[in-house]
Amino acid sequence: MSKTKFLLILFLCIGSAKVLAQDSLGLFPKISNQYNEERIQMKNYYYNPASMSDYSDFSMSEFSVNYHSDKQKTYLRQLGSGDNGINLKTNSYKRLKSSSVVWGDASYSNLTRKNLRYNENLDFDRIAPYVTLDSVGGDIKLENYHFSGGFAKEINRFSFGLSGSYDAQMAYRSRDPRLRDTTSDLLLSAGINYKVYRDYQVGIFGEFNKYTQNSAVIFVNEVSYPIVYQSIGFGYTNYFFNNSFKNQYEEFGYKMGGQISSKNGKDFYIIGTLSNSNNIKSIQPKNGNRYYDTSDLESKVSQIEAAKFFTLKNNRIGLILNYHSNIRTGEEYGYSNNSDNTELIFKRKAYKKEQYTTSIKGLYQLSQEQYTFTAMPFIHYQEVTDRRIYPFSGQKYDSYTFGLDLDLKLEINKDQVLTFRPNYAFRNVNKAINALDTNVSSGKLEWIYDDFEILTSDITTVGALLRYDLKIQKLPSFFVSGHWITNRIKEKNNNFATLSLGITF
Amino acid sequence: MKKRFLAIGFMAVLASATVVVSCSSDDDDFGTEVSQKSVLTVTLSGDNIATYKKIELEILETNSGAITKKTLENASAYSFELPYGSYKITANGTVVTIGSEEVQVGATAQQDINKGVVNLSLPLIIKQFNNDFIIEEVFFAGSTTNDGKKYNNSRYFKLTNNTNEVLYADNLIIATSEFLTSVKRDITPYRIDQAFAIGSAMYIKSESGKQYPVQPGSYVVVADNAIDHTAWNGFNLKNADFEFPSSNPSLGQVDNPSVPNMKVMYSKMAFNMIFLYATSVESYVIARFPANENEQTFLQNHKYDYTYVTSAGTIKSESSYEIPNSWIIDAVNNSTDDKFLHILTTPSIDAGWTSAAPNNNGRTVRRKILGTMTNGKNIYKDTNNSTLDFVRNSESSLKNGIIK
Repeated sequence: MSKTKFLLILFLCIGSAKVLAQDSLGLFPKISNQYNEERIQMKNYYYNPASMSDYSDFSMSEFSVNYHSDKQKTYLRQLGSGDNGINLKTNSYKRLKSSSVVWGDASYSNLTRKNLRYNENLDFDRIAPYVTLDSVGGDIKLENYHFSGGFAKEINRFSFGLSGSYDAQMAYRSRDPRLRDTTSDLLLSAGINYKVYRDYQVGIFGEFNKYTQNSAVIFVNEVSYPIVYQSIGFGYTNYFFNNSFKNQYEEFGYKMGGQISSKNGKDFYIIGTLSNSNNIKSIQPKNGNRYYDTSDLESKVSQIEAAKFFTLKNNRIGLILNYHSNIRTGEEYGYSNNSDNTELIFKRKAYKKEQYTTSIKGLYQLSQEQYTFTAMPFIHYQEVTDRRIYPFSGQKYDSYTFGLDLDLKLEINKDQVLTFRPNYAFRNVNKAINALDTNVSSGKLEWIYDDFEILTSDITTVGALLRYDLKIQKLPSFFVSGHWITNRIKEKNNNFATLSLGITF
Repeated sequence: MKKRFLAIGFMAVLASATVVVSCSSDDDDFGTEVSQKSVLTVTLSGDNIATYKKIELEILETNSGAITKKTLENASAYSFELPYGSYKITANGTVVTIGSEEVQVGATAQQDINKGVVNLSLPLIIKQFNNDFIIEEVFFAGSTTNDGKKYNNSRYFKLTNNTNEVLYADNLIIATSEFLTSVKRDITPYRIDQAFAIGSAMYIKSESGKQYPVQPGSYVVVADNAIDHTAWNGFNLKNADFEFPSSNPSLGQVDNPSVPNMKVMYSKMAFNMIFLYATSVESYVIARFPANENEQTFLQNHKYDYTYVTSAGTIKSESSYEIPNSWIIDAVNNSTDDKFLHILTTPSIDAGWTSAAPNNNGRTVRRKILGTMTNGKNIYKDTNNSTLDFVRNSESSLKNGIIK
């Protein structure tokens, strides 16, 4: 994907947005609508593309250039100590005349991921624990391209929606171990909503996903190079395919969901979704010329969310309850070299990670002529059990996180708006069980114990975003914003900062 | 009516939500260990064995790398509960023969386990030990020069007297294998239980038989070229005891006049060259001529003609020589993890293999040190199993030159 092609499409998106009629709102009501906190909290409701026809009463678009810097002192080695770099993004939502809407977004990022170790792959959360391990690691350069778009239309009592998105990534490292990794992720979804009675609506939606990742590690120094392992979790590796440098992942998945809502989700909604995917990893041995399937990671995610909102004069009050469960089971394949060919002799389910999260979020919003104040207290409870057998190793922990996000949008005058969003959260680990097997090499043992300490640490998060929007006569509104977050883990601070410049129209 | 529809719809969503929640706590068949476990019964056997005094069994699963160990004392069978996998089983120990002699034995076997009950018969072979020289170290991998070029000289064999008596290096034979540990062909006749097929052989020629005494714990170095190779990241072999330089002008090897040359007994290469693979794929043996045997009788009586089936399906004939196992005093098989297919010696001489890889890494295969002799010299481990006796990718013991 060439950068020039991408930038051309990006500017076409912005250009075409300009051609369509601009909705004539003052700056403050426009910003309040475009960055409506209640709608941001309802993002699961809008997962159904058919629901997008009620996303906003007005069209809106944004383009921004962002620079971010993430410096982590306490970090999981397989995720690195932070990504730094620039990102360009644009998104747009347009109401068309014929009770249809279209929306789209695109982005490009060019980042350096620092201090990545024991992981020579991308999308770690998707393929873990089956990544390529090497003890040297280093920084990687990463480029990410993303496009998505959708269309929804209302016909009588029905709403139909279709959307698709495509993500491509490319990562490389230009010193040993030289990594070359590419990913491609395609998502297609469709939904239907039906107004059964007055404002009550039921809907169903489905989504299909295809994902692939190809990764290769090469060494220019042919004389001495570290052994490259294929991880199976907790410091263990696939002994049969030790020192293999190339692997591939292919994943197919689907998601289905149903929802019931009233007043387009503004009164209440309840959504249930179920998704299932299988990610198959295959490895090419160092002296082989074909790939062998070595694991099938099945992921089952289910979610149920219910929300209720009501309005009292200028006050808007809401409650959102959510239960999310993510169960990943890894089936591992065993091979034999005892005959002339390498043959598959068994398959067994040997890895399982379960994550259950329950959250309760409150919303209080006070809307006045010149300001809008929103407070969102929340509490999450999460339980994680991560283990494998043959050989056995595992860890289990549960934690509570409670916090408060505040949002204040202030109209300075009809052409200037200031947004201030401070947030605070505290994660307290309730119980942690370390059942990690110590029968791994000392370097790897130190790493998995360190990871356990980090995953079971209390974390205090403090952050704030400050944004200034300015409209100059007939030009689109400009904005500049700075965002900073600090996570305090084990007495050290991880700092994340973003600076953005953009336009909204 | 419409409210009823709404109620039904609501219950439908709730019902699916309940299914969702209950699905999440269903364990599938993760961890149902019964379906993936097997019972492997290993039964030892052997000729003329009266008692299985002490046998150490080591079972390696090649997918997970998990090792299970068990020591049997006065027992000849044991049942292991093992998960499905591809296993390599090694046995080492001592037995008492029918003639009341205590001897060392060993065996190796491979077994795939993917059903409930598996029985494996492990025939033990009596290890052949000789009170003679051992191969202490071999450097075949070659080195890489400072400008990144491969340097395939500076190779050497280090043969050590691991006994407490003076031994003579006269007429010691060093031979390389005809076959490779990384290539398995359908060969006829294939008789490693009787003899070792050689690709090349050389020996320390001596008329008197007492010209080269070696003290207990001391050694002789047989170098390809007895010069100082350190400029190319090799070793200083100027003080080698013997050398086998090639007269091939393209190799540029200069005969060191003060170091006696090995006598090449057999080679397939031009210039009668002794050539070692740098890629850790061949085996080496040291042997002695029995009384009344010499180079001429060997070349006359120990020709080895064989045929094999090529990948195209045709039959190819080859000719070589073989050293009877009874002449062999020590051996070492070499291979690499990703290429190993078979050992080239009978297990009673060497049941395992070692490695120095990748090629041109400047590393050697060297025996493990068990302790010291009364004269302060090292005693080396020798259980006729190179997997256990050697250290892979060792630093050369001659890195500071040959100092005796």
